[in-house]
Amino acid sequence: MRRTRIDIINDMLLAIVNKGGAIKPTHLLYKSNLSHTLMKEYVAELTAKKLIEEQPLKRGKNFTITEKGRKFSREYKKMKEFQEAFGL
Amino acid sequence: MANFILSPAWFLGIDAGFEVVTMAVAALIALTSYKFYKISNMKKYFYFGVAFAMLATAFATRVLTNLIIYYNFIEQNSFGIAQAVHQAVGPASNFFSTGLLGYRLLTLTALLGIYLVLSRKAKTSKSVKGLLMYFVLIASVFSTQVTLVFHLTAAAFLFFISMMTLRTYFRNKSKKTKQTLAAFTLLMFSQLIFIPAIYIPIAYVVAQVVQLAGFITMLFTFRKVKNAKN
Repeated sequence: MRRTRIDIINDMLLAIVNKGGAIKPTHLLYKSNLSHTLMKEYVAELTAKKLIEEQPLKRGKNFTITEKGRKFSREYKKMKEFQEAFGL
Repeated sequence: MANFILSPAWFLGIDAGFEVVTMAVAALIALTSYKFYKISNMKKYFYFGVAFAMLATAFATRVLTNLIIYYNFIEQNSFGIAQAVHQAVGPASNFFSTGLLGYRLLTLTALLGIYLVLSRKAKTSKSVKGLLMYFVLIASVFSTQVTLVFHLTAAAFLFFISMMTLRTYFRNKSKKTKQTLAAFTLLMFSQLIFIPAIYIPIAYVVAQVVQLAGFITMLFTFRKVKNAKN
């Protein structure tokens, strides 16, 4: 089934959560199952919305999930439950 | 003239209490659906929320008009029930008719909205939606004279909504969907039980109880959704 924009955003956030709250860009690319260009677009959106933060490392960088991102993920779960309950 | 007060005297006001609960449940679902629309920007949540907001407004209208009529009824009760009903309805007739029309129009429009969203026909052409809205309007206007029209139309909408929820249940086998199905089915039966209420006042009480049970069931489903954890 085709993923919606919000499904993709949640998949990216979950990928970060499952990695303990921080993930390397290459892992995120692999886990989110997106092209490099699309992932960059999504990362820019998530960063702008303060759902994730970029954390510079000695070599490269990490993406960390923010509290707002965790809250978004919880709300997404509720939204899916709502969708399932009412057959939306 | 239509008989406005269908409730037995002892049930006056209790039914308004029931409807306040149903109004609150509908409003909760409307607000939650709107919140999900703000998160996802998906139109289906918006339309679903609007439909439930209309349902909540419909019940608010009904509670308000009923309470005013009941207040007049109780004030003039010393004349005996038949005379009191006549006298209560007489001066407030226009107000009550307008309230009743508003309630019925909002309810049927809300049910049409829920049907269109669930059947994924929200993108149906404007002419078809216009035609459906026309029938809803006709059913609402005529139902002020013949109550049967409103309850049958509402039951028909709820039947199709239940059928779609049943299809969803067969697909996902979810307990929450099963509860929603039970809720819509109870609401459908409540509309059918309202029909004989003109002749049998106790049917009105039973219908109100079944309707409340439907909304309480929906509230339980809603609570499960709210308590969902990652």
